[in-house]
Amino acid sequence: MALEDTIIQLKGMGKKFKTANGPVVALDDINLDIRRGEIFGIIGLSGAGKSTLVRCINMLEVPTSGEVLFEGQDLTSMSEAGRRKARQSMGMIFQQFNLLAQRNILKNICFPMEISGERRYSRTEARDRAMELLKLVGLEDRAGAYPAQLSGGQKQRVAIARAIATNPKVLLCDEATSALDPNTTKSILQLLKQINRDFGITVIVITHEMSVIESICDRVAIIDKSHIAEVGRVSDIFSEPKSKIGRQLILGDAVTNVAFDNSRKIRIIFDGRESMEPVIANMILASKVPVNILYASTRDVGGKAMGQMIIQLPEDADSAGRALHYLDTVKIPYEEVTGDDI
Amino acid sequence: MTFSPQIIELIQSGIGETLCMVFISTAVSYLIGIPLGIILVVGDKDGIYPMPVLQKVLGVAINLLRSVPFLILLIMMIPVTRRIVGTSLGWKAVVPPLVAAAAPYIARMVESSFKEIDAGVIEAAKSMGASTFQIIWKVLLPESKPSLLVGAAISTTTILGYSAMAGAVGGGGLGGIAINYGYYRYEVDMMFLTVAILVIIVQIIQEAGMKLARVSDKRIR
Repeated sequence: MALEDTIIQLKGMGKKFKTANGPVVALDDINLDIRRGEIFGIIGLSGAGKSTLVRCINMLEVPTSGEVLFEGQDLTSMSEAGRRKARQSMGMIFQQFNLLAQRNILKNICFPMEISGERRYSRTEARDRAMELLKLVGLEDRAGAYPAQLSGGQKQRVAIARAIATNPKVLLCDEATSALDPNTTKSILQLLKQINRDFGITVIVITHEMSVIESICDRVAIIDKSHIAEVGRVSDIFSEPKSKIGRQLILGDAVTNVAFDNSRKIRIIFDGRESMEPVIANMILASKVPVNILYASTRDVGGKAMGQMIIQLPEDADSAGRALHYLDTVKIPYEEVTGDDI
Repeated sequence: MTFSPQIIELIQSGIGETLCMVFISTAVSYLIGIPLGIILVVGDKDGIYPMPVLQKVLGVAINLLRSVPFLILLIMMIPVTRRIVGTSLGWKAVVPPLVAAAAPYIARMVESSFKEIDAGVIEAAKSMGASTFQIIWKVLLPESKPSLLVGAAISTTTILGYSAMAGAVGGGGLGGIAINYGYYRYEVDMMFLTVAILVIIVQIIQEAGMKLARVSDKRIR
């Protein structure tokens, strides 16, 4: 599959809501390219506009400016009928599952096939497809159960089966694991990954949890205050977040409380390459300069150790220079950290 | 107390008339009230097919009709009733005013049932590309079925209450017997008997409606 092929493109997209207290800008000048077959994450704090963003992709919310291109066609200028047709190529799952409470789960999965205008499904065809999907999500023995009889994780599995019933090209996940416990979250994420891999469905994941991005996404966009703060490969952004919000999300709040005095501080970035090497120990031995480790964080991203460390250099410029010189010679990336800007 | 065979026959036909007018009026009122309730919900400015002007006008019309006391409506509608049923007396003549009073009431009941549905479920249907009609037919109506059934039980018993009032203007049924015998002829026994029968009918309708709603509701397990 050609990974570089763009399936969804947002161009200068904005959304304003009219409220009693005047217009509120939910999204402003959003530009994103989502590639066919990837798992794309959108992360941000609550209120950043991520739920609005995902709803603008399938036109549940109509953007007030800019364009939304789905396979090259602008959805914002389409008729309602055209948008309905486009939506049938985009499945969606929700935090609260949103299953039909009065239908059993087999019939819930049949729902999108019943309403499909694109391709007509006969009753038996829809049933067979629904059973096949129930098998895929591991609930084939619960076909006759009603949503009220299922656990949260099971409901989300049904919702996933329903969302992909008509073979959509894209699956939008709006905080799909936020109402689930950590173990269930893990299994749902595995299921999403499996669907992405086996059916080539492009998955867009909206979340406020860094761990969700880490475990399944290929690329990520960080959204903050209605804007995209940064976009990139998950491994790049995790090892070297450039935006302030990115650092906050990745490093957490704890690090902001570390006190620094006036001497120079640098951030050493581990991009997975030298994780087998005792970098700090080697630097101290080579440069004969003691350093103070102020902060360190590493995590496993896609099987590679990623992370960063903030170290404090001695006040004397000569020693500091020697330590930096060592890092330069072994080509370990680092950057100066000033003040509270970590 | 004992009742003569004539009285028993009278009561029997009274029960028959009451049930006829109540069930026919309820059925016709629902035929009108459900579409009106749908327009009230779907046409709301935040609804799935906003029609704010029609929705507002309909809302006001419903409130207007609901504020007219039933007894007055009954009298005001006599010319209309004559045109529809051919007479202004007997149980059949009560059906048009009952419908006029009940349909707006039912529209509001249906509206409140639809509003109980989680907005997320409607959003999910939309995300799958459902049209407005499909959302009404496959989401709003089936998802609110238990609530609609509870509403139907309440509406039917309310209509039963109205139907008894019609006795005052020659409407027949149990209400007519209670007024003609119990009130005008001071036959207290007759009044109590008819009231007791009305109480039993209300109980049966209410209980049956609630039971049906409970059985049909898949959320309770």
